[in-house]
Amino acid sequence: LQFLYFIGCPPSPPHQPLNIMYSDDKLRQVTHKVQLSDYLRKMQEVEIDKESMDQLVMNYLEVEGFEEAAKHMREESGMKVDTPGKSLGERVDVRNAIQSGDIEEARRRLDKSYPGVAGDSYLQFVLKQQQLIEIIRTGDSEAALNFARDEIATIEGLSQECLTELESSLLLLVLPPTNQDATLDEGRRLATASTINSAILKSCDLDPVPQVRQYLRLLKWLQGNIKKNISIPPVTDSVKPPFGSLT
Amino acid sequence: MEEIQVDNAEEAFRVAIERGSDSGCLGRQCLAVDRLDHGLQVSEDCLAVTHSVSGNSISEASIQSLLPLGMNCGIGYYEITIHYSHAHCGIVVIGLAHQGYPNNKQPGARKYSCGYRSDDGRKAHNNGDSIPYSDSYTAGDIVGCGYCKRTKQVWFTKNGKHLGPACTFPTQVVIDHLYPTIGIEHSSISVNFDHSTTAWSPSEAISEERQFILKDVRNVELGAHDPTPELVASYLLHSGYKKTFESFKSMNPLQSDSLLRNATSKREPKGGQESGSEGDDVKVNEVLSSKLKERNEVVQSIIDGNIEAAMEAAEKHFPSVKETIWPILISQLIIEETRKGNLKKAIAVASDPLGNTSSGPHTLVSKAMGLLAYKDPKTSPLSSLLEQSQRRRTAGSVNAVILSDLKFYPESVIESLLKHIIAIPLVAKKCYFPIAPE
Repeated sequence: LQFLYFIGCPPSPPHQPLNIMYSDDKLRQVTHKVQLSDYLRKMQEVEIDKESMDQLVMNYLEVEGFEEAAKHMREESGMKVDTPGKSLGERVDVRNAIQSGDIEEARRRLDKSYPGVAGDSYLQFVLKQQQLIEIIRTGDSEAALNFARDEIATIEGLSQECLTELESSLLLLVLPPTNQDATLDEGRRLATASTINSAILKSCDLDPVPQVRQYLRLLKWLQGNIKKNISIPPVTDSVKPPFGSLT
Repeated sequence: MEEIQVDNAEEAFRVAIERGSDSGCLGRQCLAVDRLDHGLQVSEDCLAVTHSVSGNSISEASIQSLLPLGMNCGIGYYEITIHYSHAHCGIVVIGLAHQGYPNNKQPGARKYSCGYRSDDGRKAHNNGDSIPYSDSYTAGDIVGCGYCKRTKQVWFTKNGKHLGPACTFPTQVVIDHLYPTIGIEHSSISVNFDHSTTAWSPSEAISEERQFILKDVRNVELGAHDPTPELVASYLLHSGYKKTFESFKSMNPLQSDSLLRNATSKREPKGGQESGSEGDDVKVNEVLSSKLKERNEVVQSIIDGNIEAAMEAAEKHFPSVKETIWPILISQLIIEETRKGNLKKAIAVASDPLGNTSSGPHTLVSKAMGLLAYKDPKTSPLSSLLEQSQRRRTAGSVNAVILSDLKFYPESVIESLLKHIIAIPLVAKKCYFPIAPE
């Protein structure tokens, strides 16, 4: 950690003596250096109320559509809610279907409740690609190839990136199985489900971004701005507290 | 610029957007009196100034404010009211300049300043040449000067009417702070820095800028790996929300349990990062299985108000932290007994020696004792101690101590995140940037 020394803060700012002639080099940018201990002390003086943080996490669970977790959260944190037991909507069922591998079911629900999303060609591709991977995992390579040919390649207006992704998915047919497959598959299902979830929210004119992520962005923005004027030494690990720079 | 009070996360976000990392000064904005030209006289509250010299000699004089122009979402604005201006030689020039601008020159006459003249309504920027801008102004008028940090543009207003953009500071010159600077000759003016009482309100401009800033923030790239699931998971663990955590984990194959471990545990991984998923699972599961249940027992009892049960559980499961958490629990017990009206019991509890530190009773205990001084604690200034929120606060402190003892971070990453967000504008505010000539 590099930090430079704090130039004392005078209690009342002294002005310059009379009749100083100023030229360009005098008006340089001044960087004020802050000592890490001062900054950390300021941080610790702050008290954050639990309700705020519970609220942020709750918002995340609701936006992402983790209904069961949200329900537990409500109980365990004792949050006051205006409409207890309000369902988050069909999108929860869509997510659950995708994350359990049942893409057909997810598509059915989408067609029924969110036709706007179902009609979008990129999202169609996303879902069908997920379905392709599910088929590949069953080991039936013929079915997989048929599916790819009939269902995916026929989608209109596929971008080059989509085609490249399709190719890498098909590679799974020939790659040897690894012991990370299960986690990767789960991760892929999660990613697909989250993409669809965001799209659904956008189509309903709701904010698809959980507040927490905006706070992360805000912190990174603040840290970027402040580098001009103040050097607060970056605390490098992005996940360990005291939570620091995201770069 | 007043002290920033932040009560919750939403406030923190709003304040951070408005203040950003605008560094400046804490203190009351007014005119600076320590460099006055001999013809100037400043009022006691430093918000009004008069210039008078004998004879009609032409003597330029200007005055600056004490603090830099205050910014809200990157918009700064102030106004002056002309009380009197001599018919022939009275001149007022409202403007902005860098700190330490020569006090014998009007703003606009020298580099890095701009000004709007009262006699002919012309504007001047960076050098003495003035060009037509708008109407002249005189006694009875209220003129204002505004600055937008994003566009580096200055504008003026007259009697509540925006007069259009006046000048733009060049981008290669970054002036951290512009100071309200007023040239004044044979006139008397007063100055107003309070946006709520100005003739022209900057609130619309501020809202506009806020949208730009919000857009900027929304476009910040978070990098390849989105840490949000780990943040949420570590928060759930810290708070002891077991069912929520398990449900969340079942739907979110967390990228790496080691990341979660990092967020919760102070312990160094044995033998490097790849200590094997087994080692990671063990550590996270430790928090889940054994200690989470006990931790919850203690914490839940506190939240329900049953402190004696919490004390029992704490003594049984976490004897190593007894010394640290006892004063906290005792203080809460005093509060509970006071609430029930058992004053004798409360006093008996308070005299428990375990509530004392080496230098007398623990601060929390003393604070709780304060409740006893009031006949009706609910109407006393300390009434907030009786609320549910205080129980949650106590539970949070005890939880943090226990976690710390188990070698986990007492503070969840979300909490740190919010604290950083609040601390940065605070730290920025406290800094003053004198530009010292070499």
